[in-house]
This record gives sequence, C-alpha cells and structure tokens, in this order.
Amino acid sequence: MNLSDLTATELLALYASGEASPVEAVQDCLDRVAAVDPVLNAVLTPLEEDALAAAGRSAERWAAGTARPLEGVPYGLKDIVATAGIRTTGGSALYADHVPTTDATLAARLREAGGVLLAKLHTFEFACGGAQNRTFGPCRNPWDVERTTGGSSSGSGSAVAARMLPLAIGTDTGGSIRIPSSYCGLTGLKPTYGRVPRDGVMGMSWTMDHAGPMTRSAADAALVMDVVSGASAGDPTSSARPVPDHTAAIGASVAGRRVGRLRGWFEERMHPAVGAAYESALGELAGTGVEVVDVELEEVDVIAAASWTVIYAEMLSLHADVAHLIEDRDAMGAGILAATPYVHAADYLKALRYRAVFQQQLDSVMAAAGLDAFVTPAATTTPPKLADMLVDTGDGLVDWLDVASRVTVPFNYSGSPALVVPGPLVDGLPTSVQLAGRPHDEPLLLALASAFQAATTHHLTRPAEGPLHATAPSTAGAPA
Amino acid sequence: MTTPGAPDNPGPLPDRALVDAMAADQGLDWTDERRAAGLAQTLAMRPALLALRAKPLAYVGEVIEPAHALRRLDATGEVRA
Repeated sequence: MNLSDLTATELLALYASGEASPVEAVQDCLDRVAAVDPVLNAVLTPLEEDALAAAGRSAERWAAGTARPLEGVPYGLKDIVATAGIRTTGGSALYADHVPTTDATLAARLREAGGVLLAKLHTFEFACGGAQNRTFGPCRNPWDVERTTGGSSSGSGSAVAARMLPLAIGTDTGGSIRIPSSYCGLTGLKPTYGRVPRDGVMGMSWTMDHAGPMTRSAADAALVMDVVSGASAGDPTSSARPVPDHTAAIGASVAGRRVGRLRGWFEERMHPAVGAAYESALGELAGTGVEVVDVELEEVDVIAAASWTVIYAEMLSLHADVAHLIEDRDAMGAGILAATPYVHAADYLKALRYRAVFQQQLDSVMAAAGLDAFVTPAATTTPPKLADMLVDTGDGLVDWLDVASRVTVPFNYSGSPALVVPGPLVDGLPTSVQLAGRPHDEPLLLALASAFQAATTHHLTRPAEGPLHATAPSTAGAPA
Repeated sequence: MTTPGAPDNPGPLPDRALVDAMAADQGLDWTDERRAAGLAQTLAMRPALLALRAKPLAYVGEVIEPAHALRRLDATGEVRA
C-alpha cells in the first residue's frame, strides 16, 4: 500500500490503529512528488526536511495519545498563502524572494491542528495570471498533461489529483477553487464569505475572495473546514458565528431534500457531452433520495458584469503599488489589470449594493420552491489545452476566459457556499456538479456531497499513470 | 424617471480619449496596447453594465448599502440556526 493514495480520513484511521505512521505517509508523498512533479510542475517550494521533522513530532503525539484533528496529515498551500519563514511567491517574479514573517491565519490553524505542510503549490500569478506562468512554467493536469488544471489554484488541483497530497488549500475569487477541482476531478469547497479568514492571503478582490479546501472526498473537505473556519481579528469580514461540526454532516441522510436545478444561464454555452454527463450525475444525485426540481433565476445576466465591476475596482486598489509593473506580469493577469482603471465609483457602488438584491433573489427562489440547495454544472466544458486555452462549447472554440467563471462567479458575488464534486468522465476528462446553499449551510452541502460519493465512484477514479512519468521537462510543449 | 447611463439614456460610448484621460489621471503610464485592451474590455462589458445601472434600488424606505450584503449573510444563517 502506498500511503500517498489515501485520503486524510483514511490516513488518520491508520495512524489511530497504529498501522501506519505520519513519517511513512509523508515519505510516500515526498516520493510521489519526486516521481510525478517533474511532469506536472505543481510544487513551487518543496519542504522535505521540515515536513519529515514535523511528521516525526506527529508520530510522537500519536504515541503519546495527544494527537490533534489533522495530526500527521500532509497538505499543501497555494502559494499566495503566507507562511512564516517560507517563501510565498504569489506565483510571480515580483515576489519570487518574498519570505513572510508570519503565517496566514488559516495556515497557522492547519499547523496547530497537526497538519504537515509538505509544499507550497503552483498558482496562476497573483491568483489571476493565467495558465502560462512565465516565471515558474505551466502547471499540468494529471488527466491530460497537455491541458491546464484551470485556476487559479492550479498546483492544488494537480497535486491532489496526482496523489502527491491528500488535501490542499485553494482560493476562489471567481471560481479558482471550483474550476481546478472540476477539471482535476476533486471535491472543492468555496465556503460562505467570511467563514474562513483571509488574513495573510494575497488578495485580488476583498469582497469576492474566499479560501477553502480541495480534496479527494467530502469527508476530507469537512475535516479541513472544522480546522480553518472561524473569526480572525486579522480579517474584519470573518464571521463570528460559531463553527458547526462539519464532519458530523458526513453520512447524514439527505432523503427528502429538495435541490433546485438552475436552468437557463447556468446551462448555456455547455458542450453537449458535458451536458450529458451532467444529466447522468443529476440522475445519480436523485438516486440518493434527493428531489431535483427545475428553477431559474431572473436577470442573472447582470451578475457577471456586477461581479467583474467589483473585481476590477478592488483589484486595482489592492495592486496599485505594482500597477506600473504591468508588463512584468503574466498575460492573463496583465489583461485583467488593464481593464481595471475604467470603473466609475457609482458603478462599483451599484454593484456592491445590488449584491444584497441578488442574495434576496436566491432566497426567494429557494423559499418559493422549498429548496435546500441549488445544483449547477461546475464547468460547462472540459479543460482547454495549454497551447491555445480554447474550450469547445459545442458551438465552436472560444477563449477559456469567456466561459470559465460563468457558473461559478455568481456565488462569489452572493457569498453563498458552493461545493463541487466529480461527475462522469468525458473523453477521459473529469466533469463535475456544483452544489450551492444558504449562507453558513456548508454542513448540508457536505451531506449532499457525501451521499453522492457514497452512491458513486467518480471521486475514486484516478488519472492514468503512464503520462505522469514522462521524462520531458514540465515546460515542454507550452508557448512562452 | 430615466437613470443617467442606463440603457435608455446611455450617453456616448467610452472611447480612447476617455480611457487615456482616466489612465493618465491615475498616474498609469501604460502602453497603447494596454489602454486599447482596457477599452475593448470596457466596451465588451458595457451592455451588461448598462443593464446593471438600470436595476432599481430603493431611494426611500429600505436602506441598501454595501455592508447590507455582509450582514445578510450572517442574518440568513441565524434564521436557520
């Protein structure tokens, strides 16, 4: 048995029974990184020595009966999450030698829960730069190494899918946890806005940014949520609400729950094969006892514009000090930054005010239809190739950016929790389902996801091994 | 009442002179290509932005301001707690 194949939940069970130790698990994960990362390029900063030392301390805690909730579980952090004494690059040449003096709150919480930080992981530059990272090279998708993982939590998606790590932290401003989770066949949770504090995480848009887990099971996502959730003095938008027991939701019955299938906007521009996979997954969801009913949101077309109006205005404010270095940035991030200075104050404020109206619309639809959650596809296409970043919507090839965040960004704007789980493969590539709920109703989403995963095997399917072990350098075949 | 900037009264389209002036006013010495790309994106988003401008928000009665959304997130949770 290779311990790198196991989930965090499975590892903890083996540690508890004495059948495996954190040192063995960390060593297996390090060996796996050495074996496949030369192709995938998911790891920016490996932390072998520190990880093995921490694993040794975890082993002592298990022996002493003082194990903490994530004791000895290896994990990775998207490299926009600050780590004291460990470089945090933001995926950018501009921060290539940046070494924070303090941990991000969520990083400190993972460490204090006994997690073992194994690596800082690849990210699109400043979480918006695009798949072609000119400083660190592209990160590759284990399901097809010629394709992107999506982003911006690229390394988190690739590393967890390739069994380098059981779990990682991603961040999500318009879909950056959910898109790579979808493209890589993972379970990814964008929590309610404010549920997980962001202090110490490089920002793109402070009213749209979220942080959360990317894992291979709903149970592991719940484990992480139990640890990283809760108010922080460093993030004034973090919620003071008590943290629920997320793991208690795993395995809970969902029979009789009603889920609203969002039609219209959310199912447009979808490749027919991806649509067929989505239909199949909805049938499987219904098989768990969930009732799936059709609903539609009115006037959702303005939500994307409102979202990007907010992102542009806040991004320029956050990046003002480096705005003059636009030509030093990766192409996609430079392209987004180039659009930021032309948002009028009245439009920004209208977009912020309209957010409450959109929240009201979601609440009203849920109340009228007696819903517990919404369901949508998490991506309407399969991942694009790194060489052209074009996706096939069925009507032809279009730029990835034109459709990538279409079904995800509305829930950044509303602040609603949204979770993705893998669905059937299409042409050997993952598809997925997105569940979105009421604020702070992550436990119900996790219950739905765990019921779906108990009834299906999509989350257990893994990429083929052969292409992960090629000897070509990780930047081969990609444009500059 | 007609909302200035809304679809029924949108005013002139943003143009290169406007983009250049706004960039200069913010001290952004970006290349012609970057400003052209910014204008193109602004124009691409304009129809949906005009639709957003046209959405009515209460002037009297209920107060809707940005922090309303954050409080609503917590309040919605409370309702179900």
